[in-house]
Amino acid sequence: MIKIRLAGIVIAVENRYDLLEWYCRGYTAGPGIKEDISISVSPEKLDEELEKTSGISRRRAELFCVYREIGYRVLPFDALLMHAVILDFEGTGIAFMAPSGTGKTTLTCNIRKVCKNRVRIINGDKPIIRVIGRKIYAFGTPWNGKEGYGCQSFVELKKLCFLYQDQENHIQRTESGEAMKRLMKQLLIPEKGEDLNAFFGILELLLQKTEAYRMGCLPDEDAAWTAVRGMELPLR
Amino acid sequence: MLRIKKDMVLQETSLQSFVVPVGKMAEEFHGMLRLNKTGVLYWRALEKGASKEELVRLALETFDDIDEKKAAGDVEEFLDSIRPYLEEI
Repeated sequence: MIKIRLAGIVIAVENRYDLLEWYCRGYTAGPGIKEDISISVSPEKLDEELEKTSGISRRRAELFCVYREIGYRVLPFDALLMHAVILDFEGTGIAFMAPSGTGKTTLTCNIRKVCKNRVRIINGDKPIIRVIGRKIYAFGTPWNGKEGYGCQSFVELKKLCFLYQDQENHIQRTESGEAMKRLMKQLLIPEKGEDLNAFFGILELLLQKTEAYRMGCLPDEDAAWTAVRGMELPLR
Repeated sequence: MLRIKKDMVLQETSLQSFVVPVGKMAEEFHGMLRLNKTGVLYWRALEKGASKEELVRLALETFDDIDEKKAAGDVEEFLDSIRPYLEEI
């Protein structure tokens, strides 16, 4: 069994394989700390995961099952799992969202390159978003993508940016209704009806507290400047 | 008479309304449906069970700028779009 702390929530996991313990290193909760949530993944759930994702081992399937289970179980703590790259631009949290392969990581790496030490990547794949004191924070998790970009930290989320590939770099504000539609595709939707009110409550607050943008981009450094200027991030 | 299948949950927010499959339906249907205000009106009626004729009457009572033929067409179009989520009762 391992105990990890994600977004301030202590989670005990009855793991079958050591890979999970290695994967979550650095997020271990201290000894004697009482867990907020207990999770175990049944052999049947592992089998389902293996059917869905061919070519992975049972050890890796456990990683996917655990993060999904965490995603469902953190909702009572005003938290949810998002598919996004989270950038901390001097205290301004930006969530870049798009289907895998669109260029989120390329863009955020280019932003980090041009803005140098003013930027850090909080999480490269599956951050946890949590409401604390009516503010929205994005937290790093061990599920940070194949490049492993991320850190054990958090940032207040202030901007959402929905990316798509295009022939030129351009960005514009998008209204909340449109943002909500796009955001829903990047969130883990609850399995239980009784969780939907909490889920949509967080979603509505997230859209109230952030500015949303749509950006067409090329995989180049100019895209980084377009994003920074377009989202009115402070340039020195 | 038609009714919305169990575990297809309509969630109305200030910005959009979504239908989300939960429980057993989440295994069968992936993703979610967005409904506009008219869709929500019909959906709520179908949650209790309603015939196509009742939905047409509802549309005529609710909207000023619509005649029976248009209402019937709109209702048919809506029902076609949500057919997988309906059951006969």
